[in-house]
Amino acid sequence: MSHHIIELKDVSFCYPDGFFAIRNISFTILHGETVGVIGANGSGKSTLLRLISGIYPPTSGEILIGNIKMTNKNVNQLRKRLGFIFQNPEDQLFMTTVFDDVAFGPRNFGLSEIEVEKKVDEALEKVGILHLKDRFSHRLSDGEKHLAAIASVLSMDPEMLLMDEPTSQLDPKARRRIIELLKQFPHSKIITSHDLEMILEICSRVIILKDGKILVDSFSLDILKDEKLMESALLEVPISLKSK
Amino acid sequence: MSLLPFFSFPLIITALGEIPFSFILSRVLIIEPFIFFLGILNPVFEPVRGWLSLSSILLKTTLTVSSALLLVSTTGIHRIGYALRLLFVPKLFVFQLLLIYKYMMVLISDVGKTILACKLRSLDIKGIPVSTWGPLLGNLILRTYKRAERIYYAMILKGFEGEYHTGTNLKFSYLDLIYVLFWSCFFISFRFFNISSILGRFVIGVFS
Repeated sequence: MSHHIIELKDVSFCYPDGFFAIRNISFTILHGETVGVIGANGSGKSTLLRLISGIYPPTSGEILIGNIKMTNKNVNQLRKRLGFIFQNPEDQLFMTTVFDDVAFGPRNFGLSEIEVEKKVDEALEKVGILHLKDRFSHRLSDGEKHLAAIASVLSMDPEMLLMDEPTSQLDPKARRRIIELLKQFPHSKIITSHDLEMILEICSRVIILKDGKILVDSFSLDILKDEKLMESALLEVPISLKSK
Repeated sequence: MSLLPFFSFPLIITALGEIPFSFILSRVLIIEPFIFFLGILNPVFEPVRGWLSLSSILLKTTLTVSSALLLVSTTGIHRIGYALRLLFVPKLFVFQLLLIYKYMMVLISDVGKTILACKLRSLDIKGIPVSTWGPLLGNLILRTYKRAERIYYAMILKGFEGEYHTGTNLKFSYLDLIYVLFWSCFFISFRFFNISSILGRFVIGVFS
């Protein structure tokens, strides 16, 4: 099962305006591993996810998905193995109904309408919103939109999940639901977030980014309780660890 | 007068489609003032025929707008998109139409929020100053552009390669054929014969 691996080798990325958002980053995410990527605003978290998903091509370095180097030619093929959940679900729900949104990916893969419906039902069942199947996407609550966005990615059977701040803008109940859901997924996961309590609960490993570089990459508990390290990355130790 | 019988089409479809008349009427009325001002100069330049052409423009617009509204209400935008593709309309245009339909609400709410934010910081000023319109619209365009970019990324990540799949696989049935033939005959006969005059003469003939 070693093919569910994400590997970055000396990856750098420079925006067209000359700003280097990512500088010489290297790491490997193993099969089934859940890694939290944290850092202050503008540290390069979202850019990193876009690089891994092939939206941005790296300025230098290599990205390997399942030991295959990502190139312009195979990027579409490799993307099928990744599920990217955006920070704002409204960007991801662009169809009219929840069903059509969740069916968008499977339909693009050329599945028959019967198979598409099966995939949609399975994905909606997994996130617990099968009852919202025929609702208009823009009429859902923020929590429901997040769940629908997750379902729209799960329906494509991704091997690895990339999530950009999955719990931002959510009320405590919806946040808890997403956390419990993420815990159940067997996929390799990369989660960027400012919600450090969630990172502590879900991720076994944490990478801190600062100014586009990796400041530290280690076990989450070791990193998150280190007050000095967290402060140097412009972060705070989670409250649950402070009281211990 | 020969235009009036054409109104039986929207009236019959509204009734058959069980769509509230007020729904169609309220939307048609929004358009009417624009059309009215478009033809308002006709009576000025041509005092006799001008009024006739103005009322003709108004009637034709009402027919067109109500028919278009009925098409969207009874068919649904995705089926229309599918039908357009069957009619060989380029996929780019069809997809653009569907995205505009979907994101109109999101954009309207964005505009609303921006205007509210602007008003809350200019409480003593009535409306939005002309000097503010430039940056406000510029900001909206930039935000729209960014959003469009993000949506496009979301689409390509879901395997989108330019073809729009609605999952609709409609077959042309006998009922559809009857519908097309009936309304085609209806429109052609109403276009080439003055049905109202024929009907009028027929009724007068019967009663006399």
